[in-house]
Amino acid sequence: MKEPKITRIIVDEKVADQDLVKRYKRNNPKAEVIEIALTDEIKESMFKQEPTPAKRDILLTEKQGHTVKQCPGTDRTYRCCNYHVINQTSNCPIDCTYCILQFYLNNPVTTVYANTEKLLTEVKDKIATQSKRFFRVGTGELSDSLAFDSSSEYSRDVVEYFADLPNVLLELKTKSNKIENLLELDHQGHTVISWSVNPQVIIDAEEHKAASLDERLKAMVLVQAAGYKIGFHFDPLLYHEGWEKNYPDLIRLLFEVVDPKNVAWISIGSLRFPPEMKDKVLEKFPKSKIMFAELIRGMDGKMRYPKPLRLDMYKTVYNALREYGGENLFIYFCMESAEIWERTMGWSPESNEHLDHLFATSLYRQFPGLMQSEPQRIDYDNGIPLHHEKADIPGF
Amino acid sequence: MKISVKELTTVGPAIHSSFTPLPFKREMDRGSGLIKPILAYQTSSCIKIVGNTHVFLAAQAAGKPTVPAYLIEASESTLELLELIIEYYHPMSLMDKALLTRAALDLGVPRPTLAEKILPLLDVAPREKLIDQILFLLKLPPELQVFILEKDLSLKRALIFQRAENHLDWVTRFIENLRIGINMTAEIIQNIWEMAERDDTDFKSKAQELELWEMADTVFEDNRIAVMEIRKKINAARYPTLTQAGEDLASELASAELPPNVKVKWDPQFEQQGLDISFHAKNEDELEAVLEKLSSNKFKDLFKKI
Repeated sequence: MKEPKITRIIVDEKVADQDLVKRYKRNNPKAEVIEIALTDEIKESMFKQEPTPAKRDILLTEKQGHTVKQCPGTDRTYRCCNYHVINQTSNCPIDCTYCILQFYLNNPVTTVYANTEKLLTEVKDKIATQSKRFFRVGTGELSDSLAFDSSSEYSRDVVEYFADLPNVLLELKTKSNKIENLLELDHQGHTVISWSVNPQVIIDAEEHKAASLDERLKAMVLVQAAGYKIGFHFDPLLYHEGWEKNYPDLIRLLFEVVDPKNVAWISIGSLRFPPEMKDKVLEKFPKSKIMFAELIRGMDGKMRYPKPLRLDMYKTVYNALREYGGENLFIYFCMESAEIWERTMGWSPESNEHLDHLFATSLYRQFPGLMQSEPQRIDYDNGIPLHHEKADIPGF
Repeated sequence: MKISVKELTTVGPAIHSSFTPLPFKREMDRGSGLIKPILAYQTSSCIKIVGNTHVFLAAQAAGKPTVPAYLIEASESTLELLELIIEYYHPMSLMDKALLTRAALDLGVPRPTLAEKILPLLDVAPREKLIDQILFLLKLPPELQVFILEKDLSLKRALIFQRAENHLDWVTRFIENLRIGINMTAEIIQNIWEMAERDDTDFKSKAQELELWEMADTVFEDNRIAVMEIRKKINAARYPTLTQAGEDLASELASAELPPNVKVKWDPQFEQQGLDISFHAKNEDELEAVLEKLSSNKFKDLFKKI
């Protein structure tokens, strides 16, 4: 995977002395560096610029307000898993055709919150308030968790910070192979490195600047050897000619290099997007065909494949996962209805809180020593989000 | 800028200007009962008519010696003149916006300036690539240009014709023959185009494959039946899984042999789980007959499908 080229680093003077800023400068010696007193007006004008492929600005600034938020998920029609996100970086250089960020963050500025200590202290303080729950927190909601890691080395900060926190797993979700910074870290088993995966034919057509499947597989081997837990996200599954064979083949390849015992979780989800996104995708990626598939408006208003097709795809992937990865894998659906769970897996979580508890129970059983005691359902049913506000989209 | 109201002689002023084609649909002026003065611009060598040229020509043809005019005696820039003309024609139709964009380019306004300064005055986003999209409207056959005007289409809606750029005559015949509105037109064009892209074929081949091509020239006694037929053809090709699922369910429902007084409906998109069942029983016997059929395994098996 090619390194995203950073052409300009704009530093808000409030964070000029932060380590993260120094690293961005050091690791991008050719980038123009501008230090400014950032105002709302300046920020607005930066976000209004037309995005161009050749230009990538990094804005290093200070996060105000809350850092940890609930995953935006979807409405209660579909099951969600009570995941939490830290949006330290907003914008992604990988440019996947189907990504919602194309719609929300279609500007040339990548915002990075550089006041790391404040961000992480907030996480620590918040999860401490519900010490009986076991949380999952990820950084890959508004960006790829590792795409900028060669510049930011942010993984060093977060992985070692989370290593000492007793009731949380950090998830770094990526389509990259930028794992060099991870290999020597003392993670204490508190970090899951997870990959969004698709067959190479989809990577070629739709995941334009992502690592190839082969590069990702090699990265998985190294990360597994370094003792990390692994996650897989078959999300989005994309309908394409040959999908019935390509997805099982992909799963076979994954389990040739990853031991199922090290897999913390696997998600399955299919293409979904707000209807307004279709024109943007057609405009930006005229060669992509994913928008021409059989798509209907789901009950949450998002475009999806029709249920009979989704079920067909889910059953194929689920059965292959069980065949190659075994019966102990923790497999869940992202933003799908109870009916889909039942028709694919034969059961469904009773509620989002129940699903959250099932995650914890699975982790407790699979990774002895990760938790001090067995998770109790009541702690999840009575749990409250770390912050009620859902993840925000900067620039809007 | 200095503007005065004058009676211009119809003998003297030169009429040639880039704005001669404006407004696109001149008969629209007649409805108001009042004809506003023409707009004229004093250059160093002559007077140019820049607004309602057709009124000036009509006065000339009728032998009227003068015509009332707003005369722009001085203008600082082409942009200022354009702004005034936009104001003069306010509210502008989409076709007039296209004509004005063409005129601005003819006058040498650079594209970035046109995008940044003029497009917002036309209620169009200040993006350069929208200039080409607006100009595309001027390539349309006159019938489609009138269609855009009569249906008061937005730019985005009118650009649906780009999808069938090489077959605009067919589109014109199709609309006229089937007497369909813009929503149906857009739905048909978009679907043919998407399926052509999906299957790596061209627009015409896909329309022919769907048996829609010849419908532009087929006589229909009732265009509503034709529209239903079009929808059916498009849905079958566009949503093969859903179509098959619907047919399978209907077939299984038929084999359950429910009494005719039982109506069964389902979400045609299959998102909502289950069936809507309604019936009217006029006595206990009918009720029991219905319940017996609804309790059969054949009927219950339907729930595995939706």
